[in-house]
Amino acid sequence: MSEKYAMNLMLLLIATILCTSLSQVLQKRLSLTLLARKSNAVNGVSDSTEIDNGSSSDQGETDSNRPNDAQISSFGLLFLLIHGVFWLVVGLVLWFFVLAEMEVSRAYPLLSLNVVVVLLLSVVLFDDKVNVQQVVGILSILSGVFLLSAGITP
Amino acid sequence: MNRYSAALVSALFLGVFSQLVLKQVSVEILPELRLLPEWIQAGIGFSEIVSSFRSLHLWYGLLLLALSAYALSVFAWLVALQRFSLSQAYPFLSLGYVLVYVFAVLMPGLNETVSWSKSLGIFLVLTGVALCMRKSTVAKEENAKSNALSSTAVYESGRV
Repeated sequence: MSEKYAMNLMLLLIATILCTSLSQVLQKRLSLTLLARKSNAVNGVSDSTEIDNGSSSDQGETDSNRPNDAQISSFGLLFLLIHGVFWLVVGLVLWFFVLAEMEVSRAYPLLSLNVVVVLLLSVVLFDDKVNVQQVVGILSILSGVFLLSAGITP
Repeated sequence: MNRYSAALVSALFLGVFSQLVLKQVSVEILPELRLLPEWIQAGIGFSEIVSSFRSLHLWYGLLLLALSAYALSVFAWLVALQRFSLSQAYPFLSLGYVLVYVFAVLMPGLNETVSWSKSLGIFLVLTGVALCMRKSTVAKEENAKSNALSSTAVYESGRV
């Protein structure tokens, strides 16, 4: 009974964190796109080749294996903006329900799982590198999260 | 203290404040929301539900207060990031975990307790965040400039 309660609560918290992480990754993509557009405009490169949402990377950009950041249409930008905000709000609502059930002094530090998720996502999506220091940091966060979640009681 | 330090400190305290108020509100409002299906089943009239919600209007005001404090803290965070790098600012912000812990114990309505496992867990999380955010010296020189631009948006909402 108690374990199931704690598990459900942790699942809810993980859903919250996934929502906010998703929102952050979308915001990162948005900022990259805006930066690329800005530099293109400065360099005088025409961005007439607008692709629907930039998911088709097989257009000849072999220098990097991801879509050219500037080649996202205005529709794609709007899509990124709306989803970035939407998942943030969903995360906030879920967070409200987590708070109602869990001690805030326990739940708030658990949010730093977010750091781990974003770090791993940025490795996959943005080709970031993780060093040894960060791996130790991730392990430290995870053990802290384990200690905090072990004490969840109804 | 310049205005960027002030922004960082106020981001910390506004964040802590919004979490504590949000917790207080969730404790008060959620039991009422759970009663909603029972009211409908029992056939209680619309006016009674409305009056019941009206008695809660104080809590909705506090909810608004918490959300606006949260929005302000995000804004202050963005201002602070113009001056501080993420590796300095984010560990500082996670001091909020300790502050929330202390205030939640002190606040009379919340009934939260002090325990060794909780303290140790928070300490480990703080250490981990500081380690994750600290740039290695190579990476620091490599993308000192690009980090300042791109990481801002990634972590601008790094806290719920």
